[in-house]
Amino acid sequence: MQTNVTLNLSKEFVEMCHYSQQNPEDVLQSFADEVSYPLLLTTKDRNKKLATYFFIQLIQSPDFKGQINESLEEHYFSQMATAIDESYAQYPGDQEKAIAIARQIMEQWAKAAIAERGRYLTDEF
Amino acid sequence: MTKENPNLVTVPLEFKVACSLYKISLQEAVQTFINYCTIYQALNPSYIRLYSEALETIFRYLDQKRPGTNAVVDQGHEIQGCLLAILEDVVENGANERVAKKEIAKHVNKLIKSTPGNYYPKSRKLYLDEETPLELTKDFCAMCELYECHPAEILEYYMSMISLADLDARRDLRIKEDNCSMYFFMTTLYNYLKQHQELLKMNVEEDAFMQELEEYRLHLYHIKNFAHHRALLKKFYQDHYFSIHPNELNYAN
Repeated sequence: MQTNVTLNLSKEFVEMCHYSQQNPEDVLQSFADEVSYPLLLTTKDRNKKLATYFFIQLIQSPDFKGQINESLEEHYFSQMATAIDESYAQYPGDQEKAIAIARQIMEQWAKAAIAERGRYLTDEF
Repeated sequence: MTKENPNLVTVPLEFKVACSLYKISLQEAVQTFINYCTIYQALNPSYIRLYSEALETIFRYLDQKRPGTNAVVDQGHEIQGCLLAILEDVVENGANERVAKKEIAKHVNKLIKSTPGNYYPKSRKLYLDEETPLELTKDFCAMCELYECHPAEILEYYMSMISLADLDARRDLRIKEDNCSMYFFMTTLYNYLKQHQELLKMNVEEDAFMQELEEYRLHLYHIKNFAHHRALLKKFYQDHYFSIHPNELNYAN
């Protein structure tokens, strides 16, 4: 999905990009690429988990303002874990297969979360 | 498990793990608990930080051991009688705390001298191992007589309530905790470390472990089942403990 976002980049972020000759857009793009529960749960590479760890500590922090439907979260995390285990059992060592199936579940989760939010909104009226 | 030495206290693994991580000796940690158990607090209706938690730990143990009965088993117990007399005379009639404590200490002394010690060893010592003694205070012994239980039972219960994995799992899953023993342990530990700042300095391995732990807790975000989450953290802590104390692995298996 392509989207335009307006960001207020900090001086240090810009400075760091500048000194390392990195395009800020590329840095943020590679971060966004790796924020992924399916990736987190299928990879063994610690470095590939860091972006998602950052995301998790963000939503766990006391300053986090959003609302998470915990029962959906619990349901889909457990589905995802089971599907990944099953995939690895059937195709040992095949991360591609495992991540693909996990992504399907992530998609269902996102849809369910949107439906849930919609229901919540219409119930208000 | 049959004990060869009845005065030996069995230390649960998770308690060892917690003490080892924060570099407090088992002896120091258990002795601190003993020292905070006082007859005065048992008779004092108001909350006093740490003394109340220590006492509550004993009460919870008794409740688990004899559910539904009053903590004090034998209503006609002479010790309880004499302690209640003090309570009425001294505490309820507004005598000051110092006088009350003095009065209670006198009675506890008399009691310890007069009873053969049905529930505590004559030496007033228990052992964590052959070389590591715990000194049972007169107050602690008097409480064991009063509540009719062996000191080792109370201490083993206290230690069994200490679990870093449990604490972390509750925090991670935002489950309210009501563990007065853990509160006692962490608070006294904090006070201890404040006085022993040198223990707060971490070496490279310790620092690395704390970072790994932080990461692992983030990794466990997707495990929403409390028991599962707790079990994984428990294993994580224990693996670390065994890596530092490989000899302990033989005992554990």
